[in-house]
Amino acid sequence: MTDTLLEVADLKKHFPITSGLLDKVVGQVKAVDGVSFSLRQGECLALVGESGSGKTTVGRTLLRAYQPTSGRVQFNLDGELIDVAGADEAQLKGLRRHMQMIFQDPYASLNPRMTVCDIVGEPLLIHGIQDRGEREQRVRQLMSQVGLNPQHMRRYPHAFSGGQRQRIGIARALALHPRLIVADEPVSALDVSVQAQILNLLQKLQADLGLTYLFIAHDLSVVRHIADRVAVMYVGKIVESAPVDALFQRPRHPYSEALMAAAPIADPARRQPPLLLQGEIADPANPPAGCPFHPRCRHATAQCATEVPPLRPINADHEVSCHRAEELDLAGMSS
Amino acid sequence: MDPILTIQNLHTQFFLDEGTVRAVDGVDLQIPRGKTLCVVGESGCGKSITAFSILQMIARPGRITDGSVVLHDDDGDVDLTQLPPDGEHMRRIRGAEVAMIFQEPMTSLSPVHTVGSQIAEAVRLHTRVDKREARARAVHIMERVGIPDAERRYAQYPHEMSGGLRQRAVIAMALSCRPQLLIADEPTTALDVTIQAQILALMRELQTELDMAILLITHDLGVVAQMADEVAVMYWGRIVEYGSVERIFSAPQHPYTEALMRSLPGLHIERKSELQAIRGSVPDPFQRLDGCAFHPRCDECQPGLCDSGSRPLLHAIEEGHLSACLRRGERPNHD
Repeated sequence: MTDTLLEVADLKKHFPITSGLLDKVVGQVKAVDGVSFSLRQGECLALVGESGSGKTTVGRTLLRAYQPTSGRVQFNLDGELIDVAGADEAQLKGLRRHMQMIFQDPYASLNPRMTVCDIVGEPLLIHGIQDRGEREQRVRQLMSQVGLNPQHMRRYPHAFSGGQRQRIGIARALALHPRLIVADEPVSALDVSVQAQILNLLQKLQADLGLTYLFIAHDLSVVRHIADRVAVMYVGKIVESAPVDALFQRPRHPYSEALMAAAPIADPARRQPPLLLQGEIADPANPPAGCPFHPRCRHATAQCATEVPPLRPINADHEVSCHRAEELDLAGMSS
Repeated sequence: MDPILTIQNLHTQFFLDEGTVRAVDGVDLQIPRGKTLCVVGESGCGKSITAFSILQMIARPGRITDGSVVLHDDDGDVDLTQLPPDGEHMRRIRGAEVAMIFQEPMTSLSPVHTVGSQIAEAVRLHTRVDKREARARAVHIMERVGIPDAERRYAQYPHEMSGGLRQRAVIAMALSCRPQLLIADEPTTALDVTIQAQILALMRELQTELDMAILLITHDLGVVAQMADEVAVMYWGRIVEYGSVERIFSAPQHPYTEALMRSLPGLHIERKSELQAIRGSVPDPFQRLDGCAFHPRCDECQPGLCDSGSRPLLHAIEEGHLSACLRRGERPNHD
């Protein structure tokens, strides 16, 4: 497919659990355990799920911050398919121009001892723009693009507010004209008024620069606003993926329904229905047999405790891994 | 209204080398008995410092410089600001009559003692029971707050528990002496939405059971809508609007409240459209602003009226609904 920017097939990332003096491996945390999806050129795919679902690990493994345990990640660079999962250091350096990351915490992700000019200019330096004047020219341009005053380029991060720092992180990510941005909870640390500013900026940049986003988030109202498609993760696997409207109108996986029911709606006339979801997310080092969600699922049957449901298509562009997807009538968030 | 606590003209200031921060700058607030009052606002507006001031937990260089905090106790009224912060009386009130929980449960838990023994200690501090009885009560409370397998969990250390379970343990500790007022400072902000829904439901249940007032501090308007009876909106050290949750959401009377609500993504706004962000950010804490503190960011700012003189006071718009906007409520309402 020519309009596919990134193709991920059966991606796994397991972290070893070690014990004792000799660091003997006693188990595996299956943080990402067989995830497949594709990212289309110019779309925003949201990855949602509780902490421990593996969504952050997916993002980091795609960018090769982690070495994948197995699986295939293919990046489409103008028709040339590049194998990200198997790329060596030299190839990776070239690839990273095209794939960048925005982090959650704008306080932790910027070096406090570097000026904005150095922070935003660092990727340019690494990628061979040696001339200082040329770099500063580009930094100025990037700062205006993200809504910062270029005259403040000699300042240090502490002189900026949380929202402004997030803009600095975005400018740094954009420095090398990337195609793909992995945004890991980019607005969760921000106040609502600033969150709106940053979401607007991300949408504008996407339209202006034709960016593709993998948007990792837990706030479903944010996801519903900005994403085209959503993939719901649970204990290392995608359990449902669908276009935003389809998912929010009628989720097909009980976990998706439960996530929506738990999201607090900013309307006192619509107070929450009785709790749907008891207990906590399963341990990825020791997931339950059968469907990993079955111990918390109010629709679980005997089959769910023994048989792993495969991720399968249920509608156009809508996949789900639930044995009972067809018969269940689950509530969404749109009505 | 029958209040459990009345705050009048409270000022808390921090005296730093760079200048004085007026973190709480004239707060008037009454917390109704047995009900939930939510204080909402952006970071840095003084919500948490207000809460800390109630229990006199302000460390140097901070100090309560003016105002009173009167607890309407069974034995009469006590002005907490007049008690020595480390004195016996204040310590008896903390925990027994007014308890507090925080965003990060480890603020309240010691990492080197078992969770159960800490709850039992809280019981023994405020009631005259022997060790065995305290232990039995602790296990009982742990069961009550939904910690599964409480007998076994009693002997666990905090690091052996998930964030959600730790927050339940902290709630168990806070409620062990059946306080009349629980101050909860962003108690669910660090938790997943699914766990947040569980904790909020638990707080509601326990409130009914103990007939306890809750002062809930949050930045999340969704949580406010789900939990509050009454709402106080804070901006830059002051309450700018106060009213019932229904009226605050259906007919907000301060431009700041309106702007906060408008900036949320949600069902009221078309997907992918531009969100209505509040321009700029909360002013620098050392800054001095004439008139209404929100005027530099306000679309309704009227030069000459809003940007000069002293800060506008709260005034009634309708029964039980107050606003500090100079442009609202001057004329009588014709509804």
